[in-house]
Amino acid sequence: MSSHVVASAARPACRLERVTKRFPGVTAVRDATLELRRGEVHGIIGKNGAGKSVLVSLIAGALRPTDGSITIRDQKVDAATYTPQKAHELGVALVPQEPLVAPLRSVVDNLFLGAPLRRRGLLDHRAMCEKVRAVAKELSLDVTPHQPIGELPIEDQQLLAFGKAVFIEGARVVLLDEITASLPRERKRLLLRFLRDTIARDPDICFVLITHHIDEVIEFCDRVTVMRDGSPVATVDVASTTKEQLAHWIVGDNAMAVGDHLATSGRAEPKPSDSQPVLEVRQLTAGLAFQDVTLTLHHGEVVGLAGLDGSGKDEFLMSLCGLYPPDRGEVLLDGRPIRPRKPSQAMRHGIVYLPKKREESATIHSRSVEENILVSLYPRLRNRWGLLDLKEGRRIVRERLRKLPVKTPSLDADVDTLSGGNRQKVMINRLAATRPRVYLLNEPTRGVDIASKPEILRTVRDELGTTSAVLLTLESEEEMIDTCDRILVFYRGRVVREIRRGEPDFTVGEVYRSAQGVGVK
Amino acid sequence: MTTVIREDAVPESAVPRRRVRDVALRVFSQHLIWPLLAVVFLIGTTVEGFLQTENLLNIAWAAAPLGLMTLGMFFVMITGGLDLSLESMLALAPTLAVLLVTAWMPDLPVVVAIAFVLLVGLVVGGVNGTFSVKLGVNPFLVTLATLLIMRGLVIYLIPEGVYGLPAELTYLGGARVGVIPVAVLVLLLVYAIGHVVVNRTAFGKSIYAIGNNERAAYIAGINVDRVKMIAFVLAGVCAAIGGLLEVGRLDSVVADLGQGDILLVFAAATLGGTSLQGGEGRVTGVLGAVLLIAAIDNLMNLVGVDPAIRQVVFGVILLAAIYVASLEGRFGKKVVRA
Repeated sequence: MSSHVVASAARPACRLERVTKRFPGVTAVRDATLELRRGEVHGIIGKNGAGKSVLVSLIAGALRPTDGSITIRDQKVDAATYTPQKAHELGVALVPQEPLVAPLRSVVDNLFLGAPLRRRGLLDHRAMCEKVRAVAKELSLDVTPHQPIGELPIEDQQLLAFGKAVFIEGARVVLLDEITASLPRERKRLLLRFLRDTIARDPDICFVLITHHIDEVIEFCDRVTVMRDGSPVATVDVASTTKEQLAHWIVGDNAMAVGDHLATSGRAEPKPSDSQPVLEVRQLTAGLAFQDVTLTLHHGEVVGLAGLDGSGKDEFLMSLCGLYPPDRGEVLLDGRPIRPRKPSQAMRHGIVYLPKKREESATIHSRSVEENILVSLYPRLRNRWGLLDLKEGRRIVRERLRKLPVKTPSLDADVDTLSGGNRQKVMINRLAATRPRVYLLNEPTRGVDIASKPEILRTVRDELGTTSAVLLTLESEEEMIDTCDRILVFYRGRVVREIRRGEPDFTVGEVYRSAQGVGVK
Repeated sequence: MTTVIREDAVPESAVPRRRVRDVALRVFSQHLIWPLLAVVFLIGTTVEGFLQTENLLNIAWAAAPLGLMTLGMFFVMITGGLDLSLESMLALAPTLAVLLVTAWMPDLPVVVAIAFVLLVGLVVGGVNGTFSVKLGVNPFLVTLATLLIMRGLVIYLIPEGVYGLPAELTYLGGARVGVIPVAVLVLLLVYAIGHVVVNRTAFGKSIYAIGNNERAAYIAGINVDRVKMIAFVLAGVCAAIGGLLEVGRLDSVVADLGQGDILLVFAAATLGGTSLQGGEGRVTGVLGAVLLIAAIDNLMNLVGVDPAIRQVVFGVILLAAIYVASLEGRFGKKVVRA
């Protein structure tokens, strides 16, 4: 652990000493000691579940520490009574990943919610609108004060939440929780440059940037803290470190080994790839999202797409099932070119997609488990009268549930009464019931309880991956290594690396490093 | 872990009681409209003449046109849309058909007019669908416009109305088979078909999927645009048939035929458990609600409610009925918790 002492850092913006946060059954933050300085952009980086978000929630009063002390701008915080309100008074603002707003109210109402400007006791509407325009200009946002905020894209809402914290509330410690995750690349650079400019003008402010991107840390942060398993493992000056070093700290030493608790589940070695591929993608390009992606997928193969948010892997998966139109390139199914324009067409080719956001894009709410499993299959379930063969449908559902069981009181139960893990299994059964050629699974273990994850991954490997071919993304590199025969790594819209099971580089650490662009030209 | 589809081990003796409880809960959580209808009929026993066969048939007869429009609305509402133009369709389709065989092409066999009624429903439903679905205009505004256009056309074409229609045209709406009005048979037949369409076809399953989560339905491979389009077309055809029934019953076409009925259509659809947000409702519930509204109307006639205060009484009763029907959802939640 190294740390340079800079002269202006005499009075820290925030100090954490031996802070611990325990939840029932899990310690999210363990013994964290950390200093944030005035006049710096401080990066916090780590994998999912490393404790980054919990750490900033503690600083912002959204959570209370189990143990340890927090000092904000020379004032010691009383852990027992700390609230977001108090944090606010101390000058702390948290800009969350999904800003909570009143979507139907106007931009100006949202920005001045709770603390409107007044003039002689009446709301000073003109001044507030002026202010909104000024904020929008600073952040190069194209918004008008009276527009309902819910009409704006989520990244604009985030930027406005940020603008509110900095310009309207005058916050001094601004915590940005993955604010860059949903921003397009250009906007991201603009915002990060803006952080630098603001600090240059007002060296009393401290920005804390939570991110998954080592690149952003290197380019825009002064110092960085690496979190792993709930603890800060290193805090360093960015100038004195490298991408490799950071990646090493983030992943840890033990992660260089091949994860193997699923690999030993009896699945055969990947088949030789001399047969004709099921799916062939050539030079597929979609604007700025991804460029020149080429891959082949064979029957009986499970191929993982690794990469950070914004690396283009999501858009690539979506483009294969007609949800994101590519500009050029070719997709061949069994050697024949196809170009699905919507999911129903992809499905006719035997390509099915599991969306990342299950509740928004997959669950048919308020309908039964059975209907949710059969919804894609109904057009094929016709008897000779042209009516649905419900008996056959039920038979298929029961057969599916023998392969991937779902805990439900009955097949007629409302799907919304099931747990997240069981709902996800319903969705996977839905795809499998259509007997597709290719599965496209976008984070099939997302929002799923610990117990269901291995079940789902085992089904992917042992069933879907043997009867068809699977292309999938997963949140964690460990799951990726456990599940896939081959991993393609996306970085800034391109496939920069392909690693096969059995190769010495088929490790969690190597996948993570490549996704961060370490060791990539 | 194993499949847990619990068809539980319950002590033998407890089974019948549980079954009674289940049936009761089911009725109250999903079919509350029928007990409500029973209550209205119970009240009806105190009114002389209400329970006579002839009167009951009259209720069903009068319910037929409203029933057809409501079923059409039901399809569209389940997908999350609505169609305000149905009441004008009720007037326009028979108007055009009558003019076709009496004025424009008197040589045509009158039966063609019936086919023509369906065609008008299909075309106008298609127009509503095209604007709402393909061109992405809010269906409220689209169907408001077609509501006005079609009513305007009717007023332009038959300002004085047409009286004394060819017998073939009034058969479905006006004739009887034995004692039973043909219109009642048509109503029951169309609802039976509607029931089958909703529960036993891919289209039926699709409208519910779209109403509950359109994006999920789209990604699951449902051709969302086509399904919504079909819903609008079905609505148009249903309302057109409803118009034929109404015209037959009155033996005339008048310019204000069905004017204002769209609010009753909404009342019947929601009373029958159809959600305004889409995705929820059943055909049987809607039928019950249509009969309920017709029964209340009939009761007020028999009791002789002063015409001046009639609307007020009707509104109050409707409000009470809609409140009771809204309890359905709350019973439903209790079942889930239980």
